[in-house]
Amino acid sequence: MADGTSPDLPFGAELRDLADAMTTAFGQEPVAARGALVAAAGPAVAERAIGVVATFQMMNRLLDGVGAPVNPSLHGLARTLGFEPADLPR
Amino acid sequence: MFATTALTPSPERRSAVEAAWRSLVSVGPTLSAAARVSVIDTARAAWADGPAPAEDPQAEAAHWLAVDAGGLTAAVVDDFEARGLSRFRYLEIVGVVARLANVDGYVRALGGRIPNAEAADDLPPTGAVVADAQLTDGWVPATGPLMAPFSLDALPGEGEALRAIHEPMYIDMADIGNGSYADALTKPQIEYLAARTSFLNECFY
Repeated sequence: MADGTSPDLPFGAELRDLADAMTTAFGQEPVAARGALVAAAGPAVAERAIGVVATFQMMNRLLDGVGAPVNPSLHGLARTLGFEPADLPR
Repeated sequence: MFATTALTPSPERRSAVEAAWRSLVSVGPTLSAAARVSVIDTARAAWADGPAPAEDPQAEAAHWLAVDAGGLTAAVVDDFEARGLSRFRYLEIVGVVARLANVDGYVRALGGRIPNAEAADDLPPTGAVVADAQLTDGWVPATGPLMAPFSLDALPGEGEALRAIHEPMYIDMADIGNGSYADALTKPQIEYLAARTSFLNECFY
């Protein structure tokens, strides 16, 4: 999924495209991605998804800004994903 | 803010975002309302591809937290402090920029109008800090090891404001570990959105 493949979830491709649009073009309204998700899943799902993505724009900046380390409980997962938490530049 | 949105916000998220906005433009523990508005304006200028400020660590912090928080390091924050930006004030800027990203991101994605920032009061900073907070496993004063929704708790009012928007926009704390939780989205859909966003922001917490 990190390579952009859509996840095996209902509306996975539309959810991916919304997250991508809201993150890679943060200052722009994600008109196309929002419209595609509304068309596929309805407005309630789209509004809910927008709230989640917006919240992780907050949490990512918060946790990187305070210098929070990778949670020790996730070190094994980090190595599975191919990086060593201690090697992250901090 | 929500008068012309393409999608209707849920009542609880609308209320949370409106409350967050009122808090952001009001006096904080170490910054006046006018100073918080300056932080907001700097972050928004950064998102509009404005140039990085120099020679003002407060503005530099706001800029880089907005556009490249993952690129910050302990040495950068040490340098901010050496040039006069206290750790408590840095922590307040982190909280302001982070919550602003939530407010602006949500409003913009719904198709709403991003509100202009104007100071809501001219009160002096409240000074409400946990004076004996210590550096623990991060770069900021903390009341314990840094845990996501409690990272601002050395500034108690800012910590409460964070959780007041975190839960309605993401999930209630009681349900974070509940894999079968579902509302309009299932828990796997919610966590996929969180993971994809964090991956793109290069946040590996």
